[in-house]
Amino acid sequence: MVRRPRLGILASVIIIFFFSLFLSYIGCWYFIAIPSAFAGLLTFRIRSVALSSLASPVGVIVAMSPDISYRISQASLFSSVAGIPGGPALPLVLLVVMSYLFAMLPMAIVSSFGGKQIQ
Amino acid sequence: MKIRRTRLILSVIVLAVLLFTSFSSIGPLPPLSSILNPSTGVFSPPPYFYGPGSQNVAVSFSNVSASVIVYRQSDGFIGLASNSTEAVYYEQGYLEAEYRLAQLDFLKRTALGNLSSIAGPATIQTDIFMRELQLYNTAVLERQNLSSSSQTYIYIKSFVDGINAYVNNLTYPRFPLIFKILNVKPHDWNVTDVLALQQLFLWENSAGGLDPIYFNFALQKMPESVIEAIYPAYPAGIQHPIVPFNLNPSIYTAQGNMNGLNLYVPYVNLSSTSYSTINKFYTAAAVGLEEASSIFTGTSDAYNINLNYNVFTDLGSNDWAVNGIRTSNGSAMLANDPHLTTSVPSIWMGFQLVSPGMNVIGVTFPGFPGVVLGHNPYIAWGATNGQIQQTYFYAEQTSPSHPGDYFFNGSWVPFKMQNETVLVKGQEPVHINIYRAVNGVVVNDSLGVPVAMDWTGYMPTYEITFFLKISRAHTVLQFAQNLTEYFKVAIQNWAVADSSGNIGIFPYGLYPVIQRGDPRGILPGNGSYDWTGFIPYKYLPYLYDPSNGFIFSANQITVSPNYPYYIGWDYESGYRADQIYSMLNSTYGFDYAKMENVQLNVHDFTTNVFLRPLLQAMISSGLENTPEFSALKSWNGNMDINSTAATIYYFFIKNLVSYVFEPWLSYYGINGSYGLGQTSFFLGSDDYYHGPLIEDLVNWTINDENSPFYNNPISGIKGNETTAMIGAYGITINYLTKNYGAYSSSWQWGNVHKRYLSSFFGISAMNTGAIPAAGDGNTINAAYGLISDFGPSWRMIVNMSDPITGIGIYPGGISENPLSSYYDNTLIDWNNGVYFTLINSSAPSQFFYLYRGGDFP
Repeated sequence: MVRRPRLGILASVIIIFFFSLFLSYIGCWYFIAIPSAFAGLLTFRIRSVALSSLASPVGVIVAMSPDISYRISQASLFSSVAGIPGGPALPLVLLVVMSYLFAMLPMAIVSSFGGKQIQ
Repeated sequence: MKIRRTRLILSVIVLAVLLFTSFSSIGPLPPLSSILNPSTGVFSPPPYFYGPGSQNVAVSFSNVSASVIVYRQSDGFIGLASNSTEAVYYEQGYLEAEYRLAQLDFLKRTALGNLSSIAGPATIQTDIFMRELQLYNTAVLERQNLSSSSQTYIYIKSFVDGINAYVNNLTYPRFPLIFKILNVKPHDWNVTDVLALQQLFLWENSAGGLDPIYFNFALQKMPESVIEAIYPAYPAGIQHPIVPFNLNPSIYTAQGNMNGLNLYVPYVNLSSTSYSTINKFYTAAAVGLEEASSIFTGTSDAYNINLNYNVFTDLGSNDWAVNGIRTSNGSAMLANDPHLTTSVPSIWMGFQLVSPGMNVIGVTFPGFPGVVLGHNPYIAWGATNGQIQQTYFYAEQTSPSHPGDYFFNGSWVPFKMQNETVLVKGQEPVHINIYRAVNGVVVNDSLGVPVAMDWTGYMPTYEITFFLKISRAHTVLQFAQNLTEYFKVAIQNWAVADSSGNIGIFPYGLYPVIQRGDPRGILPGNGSYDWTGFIPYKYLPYLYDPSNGFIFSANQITVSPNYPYYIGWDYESGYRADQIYSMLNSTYGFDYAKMENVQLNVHDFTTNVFLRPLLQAMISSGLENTPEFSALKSWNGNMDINSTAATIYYFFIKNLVSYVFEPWLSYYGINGSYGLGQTSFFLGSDDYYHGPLIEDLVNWTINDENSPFYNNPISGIKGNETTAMIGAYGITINYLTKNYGAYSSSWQWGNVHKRYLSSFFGISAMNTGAIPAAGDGNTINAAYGLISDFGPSWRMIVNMSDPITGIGIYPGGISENPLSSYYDNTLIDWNNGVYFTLINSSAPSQFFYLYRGGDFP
């Protein structure tokens, strides 16, 4: 287990960000749960888990950054068709929240097992 | 330790919930994990949008390997040139799928009666009716009768192979958005599917519809004298028939069937004891037919996705041609503008197809190979709906002692029964039985009085062959010959001009003939009133190089009153035709500018009749000092966007029709259950430009200002033309004041009347914005309704002395993707009356083949 927590957080952030970016690009964004679980071995505090999981939605957004205006317009159109108010806001918020949770929850689960050894 | 355990348990629970919600479908929607997927869902990157320009494409299918030049233009046209005709049709299929996949899929599902499988329960009635129309079954017969070595089969097969090549290479990220929303996957096409689509378009273009069912109510409830006065079998008022007696007397010499018919009495009288039951049946049938006539109408409330599909509504069209008598250089010119629903994506796609011996340009229906309306180096052609009655209704006599039988020609014979299963998204499949009699398919038998509809489209025909053939026709007469051989159903007024200066108009097809009864209503199904054949071709209406130098049609009455056959009665009221006639008859030296001037004209011909009497009525009522009077007095009758008089007149004329006829219909018990407000002859929304009521008013205004029908039969108050006009005018001013304030510039027509392009899929979020528009339902440049999505769906003008200069435009764009810049890019130009040269001067040389002579490169 990692004995230098800051390094662990940094490593977790890097792992989650790059996997999130890659998996979003290839269309398997929810599989971020798997590398996140491994990243859970690198950190154990819930605050650190919550913080480093932010890298997941950031990775998703970066993956979408090319043609972002088209993608947002398409989401807005989807909302209009489906009768969802607020244009692209709800799909966007849902995407951010879900990508965050897909990273955070497996990390939290795995890190629950690892904390005792560090202490 | 306890905290970690709590964290663990909580995380596991939330993760489980997250996974469940992410991977479960929500109503018709796919799972959130798919919808929100940044790479393939609603946040997916844009597909590659081809810009204008040319590219070479190598195609290989069946035994064909060829190169195709693809030339995309920004005006919604794509040019395809190859030394293989099969390769051209293959690429056309590929590109129709590339640009219009969702539209193709919806059209096909509609034709097959399978719309409910993706749209849910809201479209079950439509699916059932499509199956009653036998669209797919007829297509199967057509496929069976089509030789695999025939040119038609080979070209359709090539076209289908092209569609399938696109579909099979399609990945999920490139699915149309509507597919992702509805969780639908595209599927392969076959030749039968294309033929089923042909049947769908034949139905959409067949006149008659529900009219006889509704009109039977009028026949039963009104005295014969009232029917004769309000609903004459030959329209009253000012009429300019398409084929008048003086221009082609030869077709008037037949011994027709008119003498055996009585067009003013009912032949099926519904007894009072069964009346309520029958009325319920009619209402049920009406729902099915109405939904189907506007094609899949349905609202899927349960899913909160509103789909109100409409392939198109055929409201009216114009076409005309002039020959050397009327042009400056002795050549022939042709103009056409079919008035259909103006949707996005359009019901049209523009193509130029070039292969050995063929160079044709024009528009086609998605799902069709070839060109439907357009021109080649030798001929140009256009079409308007012929309004010929092609649906006849028969009340079948049944008996509890002969279950499953109907009485026909003196004996009880069994219905042919067909079991059908309609798949419905979100619920169990619906199983139905379809009953077919000799004289048609029972459109609804749920209440014991089966009424069958006979339609010429129940017979296998090959109109697609016609479209494939005319691409290579060289003369007007060759075109007419192809019509005779292949175009049978959905009779159109085909206007044609050729490069030798000939013109013609040919409303050819199958005109049913019965020997007795009243085809305007429901006929007894006992065999005595069935079709005995069709009008022989030599007696069908047509004009070829008429002496006046022009031919024209605008859905008006086809023939003069002395035509010996019954062919229908519910035509467009004829005011676009009257205006076209006036302009063509008074103009010489036609060129593009003069033809455009006619096609874009927004003069409402009815103002020639009503405006002066209205002003006189206003004077007699002391209204001559009002600003409204001044506006009307100085008005030229043009429905221009800056005219306040146009707005007053539009509401006045609509109110006038209602003011006069509503009391009479009410007096005779015609209410909503019997079709009030549903059809033009019962005060439908089109009553001011279609059908008999407005024609009656024109007739009485000219000839009988004290007609007894100006009296109110309910209140007993006597009236005349003046009282009716003042009454309608008062209602109009009250309405305008209430909705637009006191008279001001806010009453300008362009502030009240707009055009937009409605989503083909009926999804309002995909509509375009509305823009101020000139015209109304009576103007040549028509814009039906107040916020109009009906009008000229395609405009074309061609001078056959130099057809490469032909011009045209259709509103919208080539793409069905609302986020594409080619979704609605021609809307503004179209509304402003701009035309594009169809064959761009910068196109590759292959696209000038045959127009400028020489061999195919």
